[in-house]
Amino acid sequence: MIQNILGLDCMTMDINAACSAFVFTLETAAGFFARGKVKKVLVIGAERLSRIVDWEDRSTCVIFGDGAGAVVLGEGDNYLDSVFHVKGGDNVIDIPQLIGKSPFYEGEQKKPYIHMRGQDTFKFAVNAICHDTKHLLKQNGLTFEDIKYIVPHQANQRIIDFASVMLKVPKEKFYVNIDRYGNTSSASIPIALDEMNRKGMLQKGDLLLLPAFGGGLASAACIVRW
Amino acid sequence: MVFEKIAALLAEKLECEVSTITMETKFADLGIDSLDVMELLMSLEEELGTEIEMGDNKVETVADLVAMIESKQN
Repeated sequence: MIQNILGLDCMTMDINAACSAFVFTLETAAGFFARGKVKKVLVIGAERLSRIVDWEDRSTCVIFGDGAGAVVLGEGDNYLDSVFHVKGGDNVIDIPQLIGKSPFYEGEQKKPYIHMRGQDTFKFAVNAICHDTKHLLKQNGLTFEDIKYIVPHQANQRIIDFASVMLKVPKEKFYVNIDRYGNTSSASIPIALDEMNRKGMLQKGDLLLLPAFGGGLASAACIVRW
Repeated sequence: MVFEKIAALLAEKLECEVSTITMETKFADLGIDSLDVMELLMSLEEELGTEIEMGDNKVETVADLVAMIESKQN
């Protein structure tokens, strides 16, 4: 639809990886660049989570938001490294699919709303941020001092705060805007990057760590040079 | 041992005296919510060098948390 609205005729596709999708999509784009297939790639994270939230479940409906962010990628070597972990299952974060009125479906009719086990999600998310960022730094001979900002998926302020404690990295190094936008899933990182860019926080050459995590369960993190 | 570690972590977090924490202390009374309990658990995992699954255990008091951790250690 966006391709249609922009009046383009390029290859277009959706990538579904829940809250980690932005980083999964950066990785996918990197593959296209590596094969010399493209000169520019538009990566968009767009979510209308208000559609799939149970508005009577206080544990989820207060957290999620609708939003979209995008980046335009060009050729170069500024996508430094990435790491991905997927542990498939739905017992921690569950987003049942809409079954509709198919007469052939014999399974249980689940409500098509996000359901999360809060404590398990918290533990998974904090461990993902800590493990993935430390792994990437070690693989690339870097330390947190080399990183200008950590721009995490904006899932929950408590997750980011505790990751900061566990990593012993000052809170100021983490960019946070969840207080204004909520958890916009795959849109959260590009929305944050755009805000930071407009505020003049990012200079050419700055190293950024982008850790994402969420449904899957999946986590994905990358280091980019702005 | 586990109780002492929990009491020390709680005292540091709440900036209170360790002696005010007992086995019967309820987390809710301390203003500790479910994510605070997870933070406590994860700090303990790091200290004890062991993985502790929360599962469906109800952890409302310090004694509940001690029992859960000690049962995983055995």
